[in-house]
Amino acid sequence: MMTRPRHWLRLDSSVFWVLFGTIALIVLSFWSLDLQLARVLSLESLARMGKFLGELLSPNLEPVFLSKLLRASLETLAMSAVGTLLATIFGLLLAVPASRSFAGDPARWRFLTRLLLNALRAIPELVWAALLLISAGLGPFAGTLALALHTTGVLGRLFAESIENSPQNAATALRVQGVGEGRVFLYATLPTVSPQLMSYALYRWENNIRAAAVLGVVGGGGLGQMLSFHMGLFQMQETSSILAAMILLVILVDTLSYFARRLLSR
Amino acid sequence: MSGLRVALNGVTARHPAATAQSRPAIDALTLSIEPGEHVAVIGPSGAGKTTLLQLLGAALRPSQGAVTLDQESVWALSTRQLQRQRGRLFYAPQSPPLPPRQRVVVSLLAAKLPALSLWRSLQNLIYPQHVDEVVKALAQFDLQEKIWERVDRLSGGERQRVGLARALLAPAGLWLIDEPLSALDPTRARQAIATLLREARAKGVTLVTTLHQVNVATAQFPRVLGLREGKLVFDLPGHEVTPERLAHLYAQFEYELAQVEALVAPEELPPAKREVRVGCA
Amino acid sequence: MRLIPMARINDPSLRDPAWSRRVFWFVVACVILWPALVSTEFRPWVFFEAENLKVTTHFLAEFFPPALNLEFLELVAREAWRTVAIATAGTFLALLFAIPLTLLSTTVLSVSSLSGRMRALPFVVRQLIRWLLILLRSVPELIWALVFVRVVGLGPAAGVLAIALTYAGMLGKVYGEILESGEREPATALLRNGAGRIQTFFFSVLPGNATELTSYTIYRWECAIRASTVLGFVGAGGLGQQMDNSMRMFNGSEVATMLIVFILLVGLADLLSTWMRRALQ
Repeated sequence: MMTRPRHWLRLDSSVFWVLFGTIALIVLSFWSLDLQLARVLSLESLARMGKFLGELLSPNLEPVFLSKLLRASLETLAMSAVGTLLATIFGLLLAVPASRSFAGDPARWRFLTRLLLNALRAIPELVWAALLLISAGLGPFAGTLALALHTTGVLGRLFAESIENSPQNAATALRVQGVGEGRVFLYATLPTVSPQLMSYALYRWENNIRAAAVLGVVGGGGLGQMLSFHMGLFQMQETSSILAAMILLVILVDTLSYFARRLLSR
Repeated sequence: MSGLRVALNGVTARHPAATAQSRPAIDALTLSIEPGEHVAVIGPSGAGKTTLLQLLGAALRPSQGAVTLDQESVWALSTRQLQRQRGRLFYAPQSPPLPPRQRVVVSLLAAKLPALSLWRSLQNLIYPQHVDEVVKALAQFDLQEKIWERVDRLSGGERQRVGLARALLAPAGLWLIDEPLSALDPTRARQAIATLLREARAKGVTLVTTLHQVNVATAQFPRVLGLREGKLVFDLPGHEVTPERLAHLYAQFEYELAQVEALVAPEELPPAKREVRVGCA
Repeated sequence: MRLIPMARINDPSLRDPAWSRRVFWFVVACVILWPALVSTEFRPWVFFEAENLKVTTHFLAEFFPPALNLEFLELVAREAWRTVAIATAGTFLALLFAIPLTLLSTTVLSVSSLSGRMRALPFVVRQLIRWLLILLRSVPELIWALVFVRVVGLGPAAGVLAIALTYAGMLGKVYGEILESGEREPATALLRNGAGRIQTFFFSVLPGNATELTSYTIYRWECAIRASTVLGFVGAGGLGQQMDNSMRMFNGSEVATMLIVFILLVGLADLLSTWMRRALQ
């Protein structure tokens, strides 16, 4: 007797329900948003977009403006660097209680610390920036702290996982000698995982330079603030210079991060 | 620094991951080691040699029986007392416990941590202290030139010798050393075992070491324990371990025995010739 | 014990050779850090200035209790759904853009390379498409959103289009990587036997890589939910725009509710995506 293959379109197949749910979600989304895509993608709209983009092709290169641009770029770069640095320090400090150092470690603070790290992570940098602006006012400081807070959540969790997965050989030998956990961490665990931690931090810097560039849009200083200002005034030439500066800055940081990681792994 | 007396009494132990039905790694073992003794533990793979060292070092809790250090039952102590007792131990695992990017000098100083205050420990991380002691310890293994090198730039044999040199800095009365010679060529192996025995004798330290090199064990150690499948097969002075006893111990594992026979029987070497001048004394 | 100086002494320096190098880099780091701190107007005490402190404490005090009146909760629920809808619509459009771009740029479906090297024109076309994908990916979605808000006005359309373009680039890149690193032989075999490229895609390439492709797409959808909240701050609708409104009015309790809802939403999306990915295994 031959058994017939089960058809995937049966009502009890989980694949079917996933597919059905996905399609339903997509259809509902478009329907409820009332996007009027026909209007958006109409010839008139596209023509406007084309004109807009065309105006971007002639950047403003006056020295006065360029010097302002340079200052804003350095400010954005500084935001990303200081934010990532702060996050590395605090992420490491939080990663220690957030990790189980060895099998059987009670790790009493693990749950709460992980909860804190997840909360820091869940809130996007921009939302942190908007919140901090209330307390710290406009400017790059709020942006730097916003980056630091969000990235602490990200790095803290990555660091904790690295620590938990690291080879225990050196740490165990010190524990047999009765050395306290703090010094075991400094003499054995940290030296073992630090290349990986540094690598994570440098990767995060690449992400943070992009984030720093746009944080200014809500008032966080740097290139973003300039962009929002000039775009609001429809000054397309200045806008295109600023966009070019953003792209160059991103490429710069990506390259620096790549070489730093290469150096670290030698 | 005087040696520790360590004893096991009817100890049974399993690996943490093993099920309750499996054969225990160490089965109802009773053993007593006097201060300053030099003991070699031999046996085929899976005999439980590493587990025995872990039990002696209070690194593994037995499911039955008592482990005593200097007449005190180790697992009856409070955590704080146990930590203090642990400071008198030194354990060298088979794979050298050295973080790859750490420098040799810091790895050696780490062995000294039980004797250092918190402040001094932190100071050592920033700028290594006690460098002269470290140099002397490394010189015993012919490694003093590598003191400032990173561990991952050393060869396997050099790393193993660094792991052994740590013993010379530890403020310990009991040395538990797991397979100290596995990555060493015959010359270096002879030098290493001679150094360990000499230093242990000079400091009065109790030395327990597992060895695959059976001829080294029988020739150099006044007491040899034969372990097989978690049980103590014999406990004899080295010269009383006959080839028949060895064959019986290694039955069905003869290939392990054949390998180590290829090593030339070591002679008693004079102590390391190179003394290093430290300072302008 | 007197140290006996030997004729040939290898005297390693007792000073840490890395010390001066470390001090140098430390100073360099400080020298760079100082202007960076100045540039970012790093003044933590700003939080404690009288005016700011008053505003902050008032704002934070309003967090408890979060706004829970029915009318507001309805608004939040509606906006939360809108955020999900924007993310879903945006990801779907991104998928529509990305699929043809991936098909055009992948070498797995290359017919000209069946007989050795790929011919010049197909190679150039593939490279151009890859650069287009890089371009789409490099501009942050917020910038796209700013542009679209100017062109199509405030509202969700700007957000959907911004996500669609940026994510088309990201999906295209990762799809390409998945296809390139997957098995080519089945596809090559079909192409050699004269099958069309679209046929090969549906019969070999797609089934072979379906799990990875879907997994990444679901992951991207999750990211899109976060992104669409962020885009709301520049007028692209959804939860983000409401949060922006409430923050401008210093309404702490409303902001608190929305933050909680946002975190729950993200958590839910995470769970859903994990479940879906597991169900498709």
